Amino acid sequence: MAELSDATYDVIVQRVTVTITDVQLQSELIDHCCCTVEELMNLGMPCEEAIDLAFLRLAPEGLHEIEDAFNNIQTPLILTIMKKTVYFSGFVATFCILIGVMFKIMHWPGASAILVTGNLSLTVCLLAILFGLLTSKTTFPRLTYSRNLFGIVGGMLVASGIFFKIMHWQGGSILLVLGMFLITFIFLPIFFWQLYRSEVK
Amino acid sequence: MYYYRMLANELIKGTLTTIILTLLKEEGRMYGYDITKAVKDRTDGKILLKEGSLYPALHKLRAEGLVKTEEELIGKRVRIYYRLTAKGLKQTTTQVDELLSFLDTVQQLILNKKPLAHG
Repeated sequence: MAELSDATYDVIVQRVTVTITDVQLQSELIDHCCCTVEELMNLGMPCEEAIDLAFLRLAPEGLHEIEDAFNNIQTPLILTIMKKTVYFSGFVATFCILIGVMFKIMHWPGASAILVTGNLSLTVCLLAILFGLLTSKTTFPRLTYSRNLFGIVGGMLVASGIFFKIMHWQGGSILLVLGMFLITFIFLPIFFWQLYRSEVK
Repeated sequence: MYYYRMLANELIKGTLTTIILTLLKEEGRMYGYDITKAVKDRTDGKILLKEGSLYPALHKLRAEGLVKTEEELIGKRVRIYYRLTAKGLKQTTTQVDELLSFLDTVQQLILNKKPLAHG
């Protein structure tokens, strides 16, 4: 059984780690290549040739193909967590804001606490959507991407502004006005323009 | 020949996890290279697993809790062994039954044969 020299091992490690980022996957591919090189060297192949052939067999299109496939299977778990966060916090936010407004109008006690909970949930919901947008592998048209980004940032500013107002902290008005500006002057016109265009088409 | 390989690759895609789970059930624990070698040997080289599909599939099975990993140091290398979990063992039986039933149905469809009983 051919034993790999340290130099050969180092070449394999260098070639794997330059493309593959996940530590466990690195270990697996290094081990896989070492096994293949040993097998080929046992058949009488020179070391350099064996390394090249091992990598060719492992990933004919290059190691990035394994990295990409690996990343594609990792995404659903993150997406699942993100979607659950969006739906749960979105429900809590809508529920609390509606109930909070009713409490406020009726002058019942606890309205502020409910509204604060609603605003915090709204911020969490928008942060999760923002995370999804920034990490998404889907290529959105530039206008749609900008619309979503302005909508999310605007929503977060409004939510923070309301929170600041309720807590009587300074800066609430600026946040509220800025957020409302982004939503009403940028997000909504683009949104309704795109809606109109899709209907016309 | 190229078409045969393309077709084989497409067919393997849908059965890859069942192949991995079945091998792990029989062998107890295996590492990536071990799995590709076992598949090649058992099929006389007719089925060659693509490593580009194997490792992502193994990581997916681990994320789903069907397999667990054990690390072992082989000289300077870290070898990652895969082993079935209790959930994976259950899933293997289900997937093998489903696959055999599907193959029977395909055979019935293509060759107009009556299905074989698998229990």
